[in-house]
Amino acid sequence: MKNILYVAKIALPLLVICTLCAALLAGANALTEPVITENSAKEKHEAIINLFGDTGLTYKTLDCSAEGINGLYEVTLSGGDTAYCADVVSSSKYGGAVNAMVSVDKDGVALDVQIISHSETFMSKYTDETGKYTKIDCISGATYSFDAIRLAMSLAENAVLSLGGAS
Amino acid sequence: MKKGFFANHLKDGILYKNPILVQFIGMCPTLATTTSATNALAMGIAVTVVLAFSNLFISLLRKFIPSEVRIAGYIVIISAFVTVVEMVMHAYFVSLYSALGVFIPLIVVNCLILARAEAFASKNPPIPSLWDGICMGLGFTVALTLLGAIREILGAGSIFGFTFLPEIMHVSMLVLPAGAFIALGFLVAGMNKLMSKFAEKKEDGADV
Repeated sequence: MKNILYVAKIALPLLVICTLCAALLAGANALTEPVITENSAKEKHEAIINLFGDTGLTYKTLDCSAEGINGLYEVTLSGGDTAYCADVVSSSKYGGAVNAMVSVDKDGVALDVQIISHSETFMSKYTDETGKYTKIDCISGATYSFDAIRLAMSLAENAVLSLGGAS
Repeated sequence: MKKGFFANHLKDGILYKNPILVQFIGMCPTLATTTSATNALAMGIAVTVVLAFSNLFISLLRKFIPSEVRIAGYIVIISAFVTVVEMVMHAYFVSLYSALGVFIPLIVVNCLILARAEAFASKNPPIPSLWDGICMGLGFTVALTLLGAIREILGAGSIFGFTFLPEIMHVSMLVLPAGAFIALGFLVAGMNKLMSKFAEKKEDGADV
């Protein structure tokens, strides 16, 4: 009985602190979440235009449940050609998540990558000011992080290929 | 509370007990985020905000938190404030958020914050603790911004993103991680020189 009281005396204040902190976070999340969602939608829109270098393109969202795919878009370029763009989440062997937009042509070959967000420490050095990934095969010291980008590209290719198989 | 506490504490935070230049705590963000003055300043402000609020709340709760689990309690409070800062930066300062990236959540393990919680906030009333957080945070910000400015001016020929030196004069090595150690070494040496001059003057004054 004494032991239970002792544990309760320690655990209860911790529980109260955790509850207070959770309430604080819930409040902060309610305030910032809409702004963050809006920003990220805008960023993805700009990424698609940036990847194809075409301000006249239009795109529509496709239904896709392939692995690692957040969203798949069918892009109609201003010249009338069709291509695809995938919003992919992959991860490196160190566990850092990489969110990237990958442009894929209609044959399922990845064309270009733009990193939306990442939790790897090196990457800012190898992307230009628009966030576009400069074309490098690999960086010594960042092999796993670059593997994550390659994985993102192949996930996007697979998603587009599975689309072709279905139709 | 002692007379002159607020002024003395401010001097301690920025000069005599500067967290980076004198105490050498919180080295991870110091070396990693000072590639430019803007990033360094943003990191400094983020740490100051977290430090001030965590100190205030830890001080308010100091009699309520059982001493057996105080570190766990402090870390929960600190990480809550870090997460709030991260959310606010993600929403309103997107470019800074992506520049600082993973180093924002890593503020949780900045030993400066836990050190002030354990050494000061857990033993003192709320207002002095809040002030302690602000002073130490300011000292951290000043040192970080100085280091960031030195590395940015010499390494990239710009200050706060405004370029004024041609590329041929850049010492690119200073922007790389090794450059952080070297620049910090010179900054600390300069600080020690300055401090020893202050100390000499004080002694001279005492003799007269």
